[in-house]
Amino acid sequence: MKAPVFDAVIHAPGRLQICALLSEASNAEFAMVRDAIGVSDSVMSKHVKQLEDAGYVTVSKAAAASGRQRTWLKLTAAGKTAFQRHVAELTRLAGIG
Amino acid sequence: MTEPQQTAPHQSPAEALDSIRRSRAAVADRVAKNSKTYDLIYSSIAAVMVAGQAAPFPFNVMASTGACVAFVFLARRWAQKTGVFVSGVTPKRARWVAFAMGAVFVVLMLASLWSGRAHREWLAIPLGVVAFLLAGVGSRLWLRVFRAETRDVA
Repeated sequence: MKAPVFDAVIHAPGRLQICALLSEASNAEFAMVRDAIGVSDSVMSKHVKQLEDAGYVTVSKAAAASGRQRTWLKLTAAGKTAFQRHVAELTRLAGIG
Repeated sequence: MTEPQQTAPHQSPAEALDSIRRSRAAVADRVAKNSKTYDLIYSSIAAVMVAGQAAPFPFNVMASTGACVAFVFLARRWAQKTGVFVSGVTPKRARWVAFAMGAVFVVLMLASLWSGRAHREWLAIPLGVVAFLLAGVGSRLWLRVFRAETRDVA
C-alpha cells in the first residue's frame, strides 16, 4: 500500500467519486461518469478541469460508431498514485488499516 | 474558479470510503451489463482462433490475425456501448485470470497447429469447442474476481 497522504484536490466528494470510477477503468466516458455520480454537465466539467489542472486526469475526444464525438477520461499515473495515497489516508483516519 | 457543487459536503473518512466502494461497484456493474452477449462473441472468436491453427498456411495465419482484429473491434465496440473500458490485465487480481486464459489459449493453439501438421485436422473441432467453453468460463471468472476486487477499497 502507498504511504498515506491527504489530497485536498481529490477529497471533494465529486472528485473522489470520479477518481474511484477511473481507478477501476482504463478509460471511462464523460457521460457515464457524470451519470454515475449524479451531477450536471457543468459541475462535472468543473471537477474534471480541476483534476486535469492537477495532472490527475487526461481528457481525449474520440468519434463513436455513430460519428458523434465522445469525451473519454483517464486517470494519469500521478492521479493513480495520489488517489491510492488518499485512500490509504482515509483508511488510516477511519481506523480500518 | 468556483468550487463545484458537492454531492456530500461533509463526509467522514468512513463515508468517503463507502462512496469509493459504490463508485467502483458502478464500474463493475457497467462491465457486467450484457456481458453474456460479450462472452458469446468472445468465446466464438477464441474458438475460431484455436481451430483455425489446424488449417494450412496461410489460412492459419489469417485465422489468428482475423481473431486479433476481431478482439480489438469487440473491445472498442463494448467500450462505446458501456461507456467504460477495462483492460483485462489492468485489475491487480483479475489480471491473473487473463494471464492464465492466455496461457491456456497458447497451449490449445499449439495443439491445433500440431493436429494440422500431423494430418489429424479433425482434432481442430474438439479443440475449438474446448476453447469456446474455456473462454466463456474464463470470462465469467474474470468478471467475478473483478467484482470482488472492486469491493475492496484499501
